[in-house]
Amino acid sequence: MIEDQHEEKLNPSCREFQASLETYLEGEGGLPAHAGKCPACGALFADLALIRSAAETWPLESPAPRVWSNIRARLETEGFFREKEGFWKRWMAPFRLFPSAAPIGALVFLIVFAIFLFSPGDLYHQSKSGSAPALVATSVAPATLTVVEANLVRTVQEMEKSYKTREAYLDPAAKQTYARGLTSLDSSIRECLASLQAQPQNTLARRYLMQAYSEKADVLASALEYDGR
Amino acid sequence: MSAELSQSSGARKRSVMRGVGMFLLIPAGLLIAATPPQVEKNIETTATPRISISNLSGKVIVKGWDRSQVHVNYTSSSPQVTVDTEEFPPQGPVDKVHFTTYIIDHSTPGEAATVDYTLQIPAGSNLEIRNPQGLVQVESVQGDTSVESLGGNISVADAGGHLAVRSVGGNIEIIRPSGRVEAYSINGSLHFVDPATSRLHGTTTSGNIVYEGDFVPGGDYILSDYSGNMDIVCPPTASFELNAKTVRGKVNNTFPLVSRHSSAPPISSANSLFGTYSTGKATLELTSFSGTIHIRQK
Repeated sequence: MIEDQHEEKLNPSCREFQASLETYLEGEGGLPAHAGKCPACGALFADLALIRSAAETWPLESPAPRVWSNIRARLETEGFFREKEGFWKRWMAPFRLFPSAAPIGALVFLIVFAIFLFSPGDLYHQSKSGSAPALVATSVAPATLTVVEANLVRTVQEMEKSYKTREAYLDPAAKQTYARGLTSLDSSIRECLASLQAQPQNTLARRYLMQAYSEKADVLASALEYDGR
Repeated sequence: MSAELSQSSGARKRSVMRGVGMFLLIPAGLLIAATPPQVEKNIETTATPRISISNLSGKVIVKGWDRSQVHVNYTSSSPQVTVDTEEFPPQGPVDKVHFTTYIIDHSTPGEAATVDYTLQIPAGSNLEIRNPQGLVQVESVQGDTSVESLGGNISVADAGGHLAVRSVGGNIEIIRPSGRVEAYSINGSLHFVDPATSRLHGTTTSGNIVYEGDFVPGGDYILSDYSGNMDIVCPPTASFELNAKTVRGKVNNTFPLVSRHSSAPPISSANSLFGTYSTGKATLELTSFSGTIHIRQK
């Protein structure tokens, strides 16, 4: 009753006090002077402080597994997050904007593949023209790639940065397996780049290079999404 | 007097027996308490249900059978690790079953979060397994099967549907598959035994690849490794068109190949070999960066 009357008669300092309540309850700043002057705001503050201190003593209960899975299923159906997707699906996500992605995707693939097949493939010379970003991750002499390939390399580099920050939180067995996989792939990337520098026209080495990047992206995506399963 | 003596001796015997009984019961009780929780259940299903298992660590063994029923038996290594079973629809024969392993207490160390599953499922099931750490064995499932692992080994035998198998560090063994096969590993090896499929794709980075068996006429077989070796062992009755390439590796072949368009010798360089054996009914594409590709007769 008192609260109802108070709601109706909220003066600017009461409004200001209530708007800042969350900050006060988080312990940032001392008890505001207004709580001492206004009985209704003082009572409200005292009640909330009591609830907060009582809540701190409550045990933390985990809900039943079914609750989590139901929440997850509901969030999935409402589109808040998706099931784990493969790297390529995520990478090609922007192309889903097209109503009929399959034929357009096929066309893009054909164009890229044609460029890939018929381009000189001279990574070293292309790097001199500065048409695409240099490979940094492998610390091999500069080399450049087609736009699609360069995007893949850049994505992998970004993912690797994220992985480095997350790596420490992985369980030891998973961390070891991921580390071994990434070491193998890094070694492949280095060798492929060395081969391409010696033989820029070697399409097989180029294919292996992009495959290694693609697999590395897959492994990093898996590591970044790893939650024990 | 003797009756009293006899009564007293009987009472002593009973007391001793009780003591022995108690002595045996305590360790038995402790033993029962220490036995990991084991659950067994049957679920009535349709003939072609979708079954998924999402485990954290442990063995997952699945066999197809001719009943429309899932029989599951799982053992958890700790009471802090549990399995949630979801069935859809809730009434009548189930069309989807999800088994998910959960850690109840998140302070439980990862290595203690082990659940071993053994399942019999309808042969027509579509199956999806995620088991990061631990062995996965699947046998006689005719629907589509997908298995993902991080470090565990995977073995799939007599799969009839589309088979997609992935592992970062584990070895993959696929025996007598008859549907489309895709197998990928980074550090693990791939082993294909007697495939009856016409579409097979296997890739590994540092593992080896072994293919033992014949090729289906009209089939496409694409195998690729990076630094591991590849061993293709097939019968003299095989018929294939070979396209084997390496960047820095070698190709060793014991089959008498001819060029596809004439009786000229096959095109060969230090690192590549292209040619046809018999009538070239199947297509065999083998690539390796620095490994050796062996193609030999059984």
